[in-house]
Amino acid sequence: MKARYRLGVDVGGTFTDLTIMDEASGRLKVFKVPSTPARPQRAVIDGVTGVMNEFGIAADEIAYFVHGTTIAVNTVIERSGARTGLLVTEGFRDLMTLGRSRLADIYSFLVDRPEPLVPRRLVRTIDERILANGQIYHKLDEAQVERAAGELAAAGVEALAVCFLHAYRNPAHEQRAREIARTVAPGLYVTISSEVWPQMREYERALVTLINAHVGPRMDAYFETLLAETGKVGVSANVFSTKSNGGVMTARSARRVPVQTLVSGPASGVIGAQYIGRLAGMDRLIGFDMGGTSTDVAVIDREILYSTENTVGDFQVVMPAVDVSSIGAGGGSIAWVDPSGVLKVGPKSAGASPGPACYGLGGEQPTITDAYVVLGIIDPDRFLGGRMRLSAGRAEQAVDGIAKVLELGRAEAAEAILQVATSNMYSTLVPLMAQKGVDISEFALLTYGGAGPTHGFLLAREVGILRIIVPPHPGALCALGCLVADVKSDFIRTVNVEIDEAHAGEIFGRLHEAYADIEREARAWLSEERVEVKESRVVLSADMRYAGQAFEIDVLLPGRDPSPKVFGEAMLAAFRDRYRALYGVGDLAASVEVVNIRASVVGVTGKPAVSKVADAEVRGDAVPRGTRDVHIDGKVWKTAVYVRDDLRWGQRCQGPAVIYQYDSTVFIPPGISVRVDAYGNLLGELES
Amino acid sequence: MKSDKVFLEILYNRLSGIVSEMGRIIHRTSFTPFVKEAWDFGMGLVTPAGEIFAYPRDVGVAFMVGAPMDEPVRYFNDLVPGDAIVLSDPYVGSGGLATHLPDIHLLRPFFVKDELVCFIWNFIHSSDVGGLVPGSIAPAAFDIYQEGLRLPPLKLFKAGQLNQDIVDILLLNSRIPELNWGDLKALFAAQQTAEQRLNETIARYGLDRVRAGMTDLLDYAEDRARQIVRKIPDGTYTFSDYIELDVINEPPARIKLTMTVRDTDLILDFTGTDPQVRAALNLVSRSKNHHFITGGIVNFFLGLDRHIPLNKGILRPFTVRAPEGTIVNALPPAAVGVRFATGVRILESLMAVLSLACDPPTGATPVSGVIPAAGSGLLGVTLLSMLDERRGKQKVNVVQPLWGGSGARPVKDGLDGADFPAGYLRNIPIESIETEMPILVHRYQLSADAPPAGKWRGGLGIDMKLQVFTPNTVMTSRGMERFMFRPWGRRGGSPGTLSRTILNPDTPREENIGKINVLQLEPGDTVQIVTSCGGGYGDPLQRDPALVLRDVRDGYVSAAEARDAYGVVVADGAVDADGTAARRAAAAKNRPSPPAFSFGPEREAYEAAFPEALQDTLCGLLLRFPVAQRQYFRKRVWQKVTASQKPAAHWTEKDLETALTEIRSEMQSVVFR
Repeated sequence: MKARYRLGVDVGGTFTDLTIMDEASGRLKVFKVPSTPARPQRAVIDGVTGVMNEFGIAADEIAYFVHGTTIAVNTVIERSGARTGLLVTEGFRDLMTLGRSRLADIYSFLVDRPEPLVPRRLVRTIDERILANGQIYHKLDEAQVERAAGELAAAGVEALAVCFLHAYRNPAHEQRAREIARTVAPGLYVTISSEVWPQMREYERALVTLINAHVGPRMDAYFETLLAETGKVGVSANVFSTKSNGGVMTARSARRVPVQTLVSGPASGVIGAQYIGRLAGMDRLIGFDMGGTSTDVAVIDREILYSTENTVGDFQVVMPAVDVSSIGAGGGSIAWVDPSGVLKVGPKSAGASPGPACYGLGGEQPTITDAYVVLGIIDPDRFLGGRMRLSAGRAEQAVDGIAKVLELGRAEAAEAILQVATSNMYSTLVPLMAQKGVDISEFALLTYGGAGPTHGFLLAREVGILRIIVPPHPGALCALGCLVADVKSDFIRTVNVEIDEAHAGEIFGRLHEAYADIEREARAWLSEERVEVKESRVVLSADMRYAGQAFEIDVLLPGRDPSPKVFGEAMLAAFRDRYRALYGVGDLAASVEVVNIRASVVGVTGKPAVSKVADAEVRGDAVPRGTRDVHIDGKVWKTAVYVRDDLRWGQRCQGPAVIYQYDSTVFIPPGISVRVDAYGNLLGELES
Repeated sequence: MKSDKVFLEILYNRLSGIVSEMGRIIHRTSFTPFVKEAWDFGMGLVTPAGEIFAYPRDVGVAFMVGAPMDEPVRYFNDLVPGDAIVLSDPYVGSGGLATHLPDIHLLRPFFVKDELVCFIWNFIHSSDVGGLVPGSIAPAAFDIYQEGLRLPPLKLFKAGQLNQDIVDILLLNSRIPELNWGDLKALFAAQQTAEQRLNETIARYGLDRVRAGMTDLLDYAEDRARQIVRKIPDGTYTFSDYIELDVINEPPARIKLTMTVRDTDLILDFTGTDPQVRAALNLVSRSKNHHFITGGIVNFFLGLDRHIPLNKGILRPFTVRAPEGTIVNALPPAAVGVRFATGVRILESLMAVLSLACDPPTGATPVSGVIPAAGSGLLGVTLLSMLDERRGKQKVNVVQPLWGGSGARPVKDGLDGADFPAGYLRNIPIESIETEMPILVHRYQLSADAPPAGKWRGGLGIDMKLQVFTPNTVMTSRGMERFMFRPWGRRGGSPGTLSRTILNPDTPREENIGKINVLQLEPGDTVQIVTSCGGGYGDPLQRDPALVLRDVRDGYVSAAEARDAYGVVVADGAVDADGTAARRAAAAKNRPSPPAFSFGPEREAYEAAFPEALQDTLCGLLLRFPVAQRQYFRKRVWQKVTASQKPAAHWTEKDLETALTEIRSEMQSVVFR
């Protein structure tokens, strides 16, 4: 039988990472080529041919090709996309400048507001008006649209965003404006708000539309040539793109709504975390992704948590995305001493260049990574599997600089850096979990990224997390995530109806119809993706509240009963249950409002088989390769050194221990022991 | 300091996490829009002496780190574990913590065994605690009895038992009892979690270390703040500005501030500030180092040192002298609801004296470059009350919180449509407004005013125009300012613009109606509100021509304004360099050196008719009258001075004495006839 492989490609700034998974065994192999930022698809093609040569895989054995790219998000952060124009309703010219007002730093007189993606001179106001109920109050001035589109095109605009008031309710004016713009300027990439994300709230909707327009032409061209070139090397599998919501979509869709890929990278990592957690038998997880330049966390409370306030560069994007929050700057965070002699860590980071002092690339200030080296946690000769030699001397020199100011010994100073860094994480992580309503002690910490397994146990001890998981390939979790993701898309309609008792029957009818409609749209999307899926489902939800309240809660709904009345009553019951769960009371003497209705369609793709790492469990302690001195908790410990590949299912390692592997270093502090599970995960338990 | 410098940072991070977690819990579990959307709530950890030693940076209101708590923490001498104190009244036992009745404060003593270690404090702004109007804040209220339920310090919890009697009274006095109760429960939940976290922290680090760390953190912050203050040149700096009273035919109330800088100490003296008023603009500060007096300084310190720990220690260098019975240190029963407006003016006045000290006309100091010119100076909340036809009930909605542009900064332009005192607020989407209410918002964008000129220009105000369609619609407004006097420009920058309200603009019925108190509207009426632009900073002739060109291309500045205000000649979409050089050279000739502040013609005219020196003298003379009558005497004197044949500049103390005697005898002739 012919082998079947899944190929994942992650286009990063420095490297393009490829992951190949054998569908029969679930085994992963990784491959890296340098990225080619000027023309990123070249590195992809280099990588694909490289993988085929290296592992002896034929083009037609690649059955599934998923592609994750940071092009869209980087374009927004660098603001390097298309020259973009914007049409808005007359009277609202400064929609993008005013935004939602709250300043990014309320304690600074020198704070700046984010510069809009479109300069004011490329914003045109159009005479037209639609009311909150969707009625046309003032007809679209078509001549004005024609003139505006012509002027903007003449000013060099390559992409046009259109956002009119209440277009989520009635898209007629936006659709007509698009037609006119396309006639006037046929090459223009036009995006209208009612199509990209038809949700009430003009600024948020316009922002999504504008971002889509800004990144659109580049992503469109990218995917176009990528598809052509993969075809040339003989890969005929459908090309997928990862999405911010943790799902995938076809490249064809990605060309139309590239805004949906913005935070797909971190989202894939969380999908991978959920996958690993299930294997390890744990479904309540905090994903802890610590790299060189950033540390991100995400929550999986049986289901992945989604957020509708996702930070992308200077902006907050409202489309649902896997909820990933930054809690700090990562292993490159710089330690320094303030004028009162107090030790601080971050927020400045040495980043990847020059990087920590121990990299020997010119960094002189001590970082968290330097502290690991000084304390003996990281072996400078075995960092990243020995691929990168570190300089212990430079790490020591850098740490000595602050040790002197603090009047501490070298090791004490290094440990102080880790303690302060950990307390920094405490100060962000604990409130963050409270915001999400998560009781931290009931969750396991799943550590990934280069430094996640190095710092995870220290963090867990500090914040009161009792269980820790280290996956077999902490550095490749994003790649794993994109290979096991489902095809998924989200849909929204703002309906704004109040279910008052007198008219409940009629309103249930309207809601039922609206859900039938959004469900149809969702299923139509999936069938247009033309993907082979094992099963598909549509999940319905609603943003609801008691009349008069200023906030909505998201309510997961049961399937749509054929009877509007039964479905409507079920909606109300689901709302009251959820409300009670959140606030302890359920039945307020007020009627219920439905603000938005939502649908998510999921096409479940086939999952690779997962095999255990060995046929049988081995009992007893793992055998260390040796020992080294590690300074922690104020003293020096003879610490066992393991190599990850040596560890077998069922074996245990007792802390203090360090475990080296090609993509990370695991550090287990004293008093904690870990065991290896059947899938090669390390499971650690702390005493409560 | 007893604590080592590593533990101090670790403890600071821990405690910051604990207070921030409290905020997140309140945000997540609270009910009312003011709490949920506008984040009008706060929390912190307080020493037994009443100083906040931990305050969050990322959640809740910005200014309360300086809130004085020395009196409420000592109010009861029989506190036991499980007690919690509730209070809202500014005049009884609050000592400056509570400043208006809607803020409901909760203080919970934290004990380890039987030993009091600290207090856990939080508060919410309740959207209604009774009183004259829905929302409980009526600008025209003239004593505190009109402003809702007054809660002196009471034990809401006694040894863990809720005192239901208090809850019953509290809820019966609110128009929204269920929502209030929900918000209060959010406060309880947050305090419980904080208590648990404090116990964990003490279990990990030990009670003695944590307790020493609390006071050391305050000392540490004080040390950092004094390091900054030491860099401010010693001297005495004076500034004054005005609050526009919401009452017709009253002269505006003046705030006068003299700051003395001596090494690492700052003394703020409000002598010369006008008497408290019969409107809800009074601040109860108790002449303390109070958050509404020194709160804005936090921005200044953080602008120079981002990593300074946020606690009351940073305000220790301040000593405040605010005479009793003035608008900045009011006595009962003065009304206080809109004290935020007064707070904004105090904040700007403090910035003005600091700016004088830190940014002298020549030469830079180590603390130069962070203090802006005056911003719009307003935070207006406009409400519409109309019949909800479907429910047959009157409905009250906030239309949109309004503010204007910020002042220009010494190193960059002001913010358009955003201002620092309102920096923590979010606006409301127009689509949401129109869904909630049967109104049409025709415009919500930056004002069409030319931005106030300067080397750095002032931020633009906001222009909002809306139309109502329901009979008997009533618009009320509070916190709107700068209808009389413009925000000040600094060091040659132009003053900002005036706010204005126009009824039925661009129709034959157009009318400029000034500040709204209560406005009755007919179906079809349109109201346009334009908020003030912030002041400019520095000489407009020194503005980078490229920035002028950018403003011309973006439609903020016309070519004619570019030429006249900035001396920049723009032709064919580009700067004419030679023309600009010539024009600027000509404009610079024979120019007087720029004033420290530009106030604009309105304030200049007012002070020509009622000079500041005369106001100073009058303030002293008013002290002989009962507090409640001082505002009246002041108004009458102002009327006499402005109506007098004698030029105001020639008025003497003796003339004032004579005038006061006349006014008194008029009163007595009526009373004792």
